[in-house]
Amino acid sequence: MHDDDRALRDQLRAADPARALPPASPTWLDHRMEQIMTDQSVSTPTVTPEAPRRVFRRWMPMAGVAAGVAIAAAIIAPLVLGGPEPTVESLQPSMGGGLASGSCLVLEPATVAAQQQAFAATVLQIQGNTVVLEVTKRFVGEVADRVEVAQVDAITSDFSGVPFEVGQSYLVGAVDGTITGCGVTGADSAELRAVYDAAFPG
Amino acid sequence: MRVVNDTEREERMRNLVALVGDPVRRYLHRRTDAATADDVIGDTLLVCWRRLDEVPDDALPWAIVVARQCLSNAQRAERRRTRLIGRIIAIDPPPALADENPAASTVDEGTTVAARVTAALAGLRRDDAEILRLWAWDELTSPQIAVVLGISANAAAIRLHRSKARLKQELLKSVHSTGHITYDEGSEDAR
Repeated sequence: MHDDDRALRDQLRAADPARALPPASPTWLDHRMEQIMTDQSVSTPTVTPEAPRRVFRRWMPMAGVAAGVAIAAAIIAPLVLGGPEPTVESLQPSMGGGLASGSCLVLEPATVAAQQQAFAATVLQIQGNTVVLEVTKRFVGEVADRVEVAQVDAITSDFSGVPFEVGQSYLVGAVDGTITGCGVTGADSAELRAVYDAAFPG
Repeated sequence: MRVVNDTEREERMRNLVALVGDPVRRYLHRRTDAATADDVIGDTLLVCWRRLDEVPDDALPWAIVVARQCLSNAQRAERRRTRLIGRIIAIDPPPALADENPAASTVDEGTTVAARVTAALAGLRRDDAEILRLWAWDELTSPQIAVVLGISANAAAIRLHRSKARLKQELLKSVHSTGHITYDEGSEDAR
């Protein structure tokens, strides 16, 4: 490593909040292993396939009741308590592709991978000029439960932005709080989904 | 049908915990409070145990991705809880939101360098600061950072290089008056 890099890394390490954290005690590993091994919810591949089926049959009626109670609670609790409100963040609409010609390059996974935020979302509603999207999947970055963005202006945009429609699903990329146009953000099609999957494998 | 022996599986898990347990514990302590870190490492190791057959040869970046997702879930749940409690007790929400920039609040203020670097990190974009933390604090190489961030090794190396340059610029701003530090442009990427 370059001396310059080493100096920078040393400086960064001086600011490491965990530098004073003592190493894990010798009993730490045993304690953690004990916790994991006593976790009853784990079904390892070592069990025979018949055993869980018998257990499931015995507990199925109770599981059904429990599921019913859980569903009822999920419906009633928000009505009684008002429910936890989803987090909302605002993003700026696409400012165009950044090309003077107004044209965009062929979309590559690397372009999508370079986004600070990337997520799948469905348009819940459009109030005036504000589009409200419900996030259904996060590929990268911290993304709130819902995202608000101004509707694309068909008159002033360079046509690389996405006009959002209620009920439609989209794949969205953003950098510095601004939605990226030029094909990075678009309707959730098989082609665009394939690019996102390639950009964010696993 | 016995796919793998219980003892063998436990032994693999024990080896995995011995390998990644402490680095992941430090990763979490750098990014959240101690209590949350302890909770999340339990969740992380449980996921590792359940997905033991998927653990790659280079287990650390994979485990850090699991830890990051567990931490993200915990922070999201905490934010929801805080809002709900705020509604129920009808007072101002308690200031227990997840710390977006833990370094800013947990670093020993007595160290001048640490304070300056902390301020410089805070001046960077979140992604730049995070890649530098992964490099310097978590001691990950570019290919490992690539796994954690879900990008190509080449993209990770480029991002790291740019982030270093931006940090140097931030540091230069802060020490410009004293003139203690000078950097050459074009340093190498990660080891």
